[in-house]
Amino acid sequence: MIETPLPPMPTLQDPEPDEPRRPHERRTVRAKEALVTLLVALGLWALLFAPALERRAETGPVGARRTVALAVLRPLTAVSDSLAIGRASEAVMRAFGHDPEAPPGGELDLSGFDLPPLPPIDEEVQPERPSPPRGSDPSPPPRAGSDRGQDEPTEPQPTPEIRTPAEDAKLRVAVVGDSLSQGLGPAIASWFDADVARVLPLGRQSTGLARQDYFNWRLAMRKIEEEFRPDLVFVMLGSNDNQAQVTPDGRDIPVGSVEWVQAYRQRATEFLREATSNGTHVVWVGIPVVQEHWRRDFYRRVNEIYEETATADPLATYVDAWELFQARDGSYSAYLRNERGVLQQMRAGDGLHLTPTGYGYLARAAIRAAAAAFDLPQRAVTFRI
Amino acid sequence: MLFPTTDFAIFFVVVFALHWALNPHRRAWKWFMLAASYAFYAWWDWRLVWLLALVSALAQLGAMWVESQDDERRRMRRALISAVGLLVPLAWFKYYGFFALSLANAFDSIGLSAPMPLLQLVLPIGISFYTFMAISYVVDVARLEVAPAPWLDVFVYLAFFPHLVAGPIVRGDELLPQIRRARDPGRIDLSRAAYLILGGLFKKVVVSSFLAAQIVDPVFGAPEAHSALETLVAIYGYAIVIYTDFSAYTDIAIGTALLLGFRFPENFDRPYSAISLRDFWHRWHMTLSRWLRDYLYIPLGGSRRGDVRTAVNIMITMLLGGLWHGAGWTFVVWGGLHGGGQVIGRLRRRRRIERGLPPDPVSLAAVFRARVVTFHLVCLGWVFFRADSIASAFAVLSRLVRGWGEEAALVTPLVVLTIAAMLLLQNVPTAPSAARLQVVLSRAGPVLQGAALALVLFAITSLAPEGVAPFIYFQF
Repeated sequence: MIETPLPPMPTLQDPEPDEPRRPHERRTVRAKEALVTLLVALGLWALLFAPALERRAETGPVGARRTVALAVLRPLTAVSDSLAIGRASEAVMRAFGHDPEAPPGGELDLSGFDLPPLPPIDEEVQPERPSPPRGSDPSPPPRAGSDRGQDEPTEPQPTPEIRTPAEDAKLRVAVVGDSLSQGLGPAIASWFDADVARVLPLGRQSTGLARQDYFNWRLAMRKIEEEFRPDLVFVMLGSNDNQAQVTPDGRDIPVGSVEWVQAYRQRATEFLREATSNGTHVVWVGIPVVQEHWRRDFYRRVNEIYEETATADPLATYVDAWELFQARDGSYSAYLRNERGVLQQMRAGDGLHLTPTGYGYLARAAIRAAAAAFDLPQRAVTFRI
Repeated sequence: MLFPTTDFAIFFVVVFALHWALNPHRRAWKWFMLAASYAFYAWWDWRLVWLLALVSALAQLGAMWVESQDDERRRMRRALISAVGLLVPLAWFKYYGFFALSLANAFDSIGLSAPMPLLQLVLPIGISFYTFMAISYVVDVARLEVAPAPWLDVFVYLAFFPHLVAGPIVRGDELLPQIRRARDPGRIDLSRAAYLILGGLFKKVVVSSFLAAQIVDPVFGAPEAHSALETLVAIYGYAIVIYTDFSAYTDIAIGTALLLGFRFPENFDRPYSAISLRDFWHRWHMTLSRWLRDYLYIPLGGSRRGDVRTAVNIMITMLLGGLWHGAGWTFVVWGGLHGGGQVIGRLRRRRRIERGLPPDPVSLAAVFRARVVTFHLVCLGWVFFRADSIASAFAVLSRLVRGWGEEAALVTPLVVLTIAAMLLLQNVPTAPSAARLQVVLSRAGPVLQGAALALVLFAITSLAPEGVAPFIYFQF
């Protein structure tokens, strides 16, 4: 590295003004020509990509930026469609393996995972929990005995245990949610014993429950149930949901309104119902205390919704990550003591996400919650529950 | 503001037009470029713009203080004091948390309370890069290689947005004259700039994102859950990910600067074709390498004070080079591996020379063998570089021993093909077809060129996944 001088850097030498151009030399251009080229390139690209750009803009947070983007992109898409450019570009996108009709957040694809064969649903998983119908209605009806959507009081249900895994019948675990779950997923995977458990980290950044037009976790959960049929699902989301919800008919529900809370609770309930429909156990992990004060009220509110939703279902339990990551005086701190009393940096610089150490700590807490609620066997994990 | 976003595309077109409009009016241009660069920086976090201004002011004050001293030794002493002063913000933001936590746990173990408060400090983006540029400016003034520039020029030099966030680390004598003189609006190397920008976008949003999501992140996130083959391919994959990610940023930075009439130094030269670790550092992050050489290794004495002192100097340089990336033992190990490897390599070269052999391998087989060995040593270093702790790094490495014969679902043909293609490209000389392509493109008119660029851009954005992650080197 050090003794031999670095090679000369020809890019630093300005060309001589009167240097004659050699036949195989690149032609340089004037600034105006370069500007025209840039504008043509970006303009044509925008025309080619207009439908996709418009879909992305539609699923962005409701506000001035989205309004302006749509005001620009809708006419552009119309021009693109009228010239049949949109159709041609969609064909190209399909050729590249992208579905132009898919929501901008994409669709969950489990084909990349080497999934084990599905276990028989009725005998092994939840004999007392009938499988809901898989019809055209995306919302399965409430189950008998569930308190959701029912006026009559409910009987407390026995909490079924998670089966004991074996090498030839591995425990199936999925971790779903937003970028928080993308950190939690690998940590959960690292604490399960790979010999007896198959963990799929399926988190997707920028997702949540507020914008199903961007990514629909309920439909994704259905796919996970159908193709993977997990024994246990860890859920952690909500960090992107401090925004207006958009209904399927395109109506905005402003954040902070009573209607927003009702709609959000409904989405959380439907999501959990989908997750537990085959007898799958769910550990719903709340959002940890955050550094910025102005965010706290919102996250506390959605945490309450998650807790109420999870505790109402005998197949679900809730982990209070808010409290878990508070300092002794209840404040936010990036540095906390782990189970052995060692101080560690648990929080990332943005005051919301966790460090890998923090995710490991949270993963152990979440797994212990599964053990307490569903008798997750010690055999499944590599640390003492 | 991230390079591969529509926000940046719009920002750049506006800046490009105003840049060339104001180009003849240097004072107005400098104020404009300063404002544009600060806006670019504030897009991430406006609360930290003051720090960039503070470092710029400290650099200029240091340069003026240094220049006012005629005696060379005193001038160098002042330069050293200024450099330490410039390092204070970097040390505070980057290393305070690490040392305070280590001290707290050490005191804790003997029953005492922490001597320093534990603070969470957000690392300002680009601070490592602009701090090193500021130090190089002050030291170059002390060495009489650069004259102190006007205040405004120094502020633009350190904030100039193409290099601001992740380099290349451009020296004062390279950039300050370009800031001073108007750029030539009649000689824009558009085809080369477009080649660099689009090539960088492809490397970042297609290759790097694909490999990171497909195999690298899952395996490094939970190594125990993956087989030996998956782990091995993930390590190779990370070598490609970090190269394509970082060199993509550099290419886009050089390309955007070219469109503005500025020339930056190259930062990469097919690093995985290196035949030794020494050679690797001639090809990887070249502007950091020469910075470490000129402002650390040579001032330490370089190779002028005997073998032992040379080895110590190499180790100090590489260990500090490792710590420059972050406060963590993984970076210390990474720097130590490269330093130790270079010391051993130096001894081997010496022995070859003593035996009458050429210092480096010559035959094709020997060169190939040297490349393979060097690549694997570099990959070993990357394991520590990527891991969040020493234990995690060993967890990854241990899978290479224990996990053979298990299923390897993540090792798909496309993953293997992508890695193989990228490695192959590293080991062939710069393709003449790339240069010819640029010449052909440059001969076309603006509409045809624009259309060609639009089609390539469309192909790249169609292949890109949703939500491209920030560049890896932003965190350093």
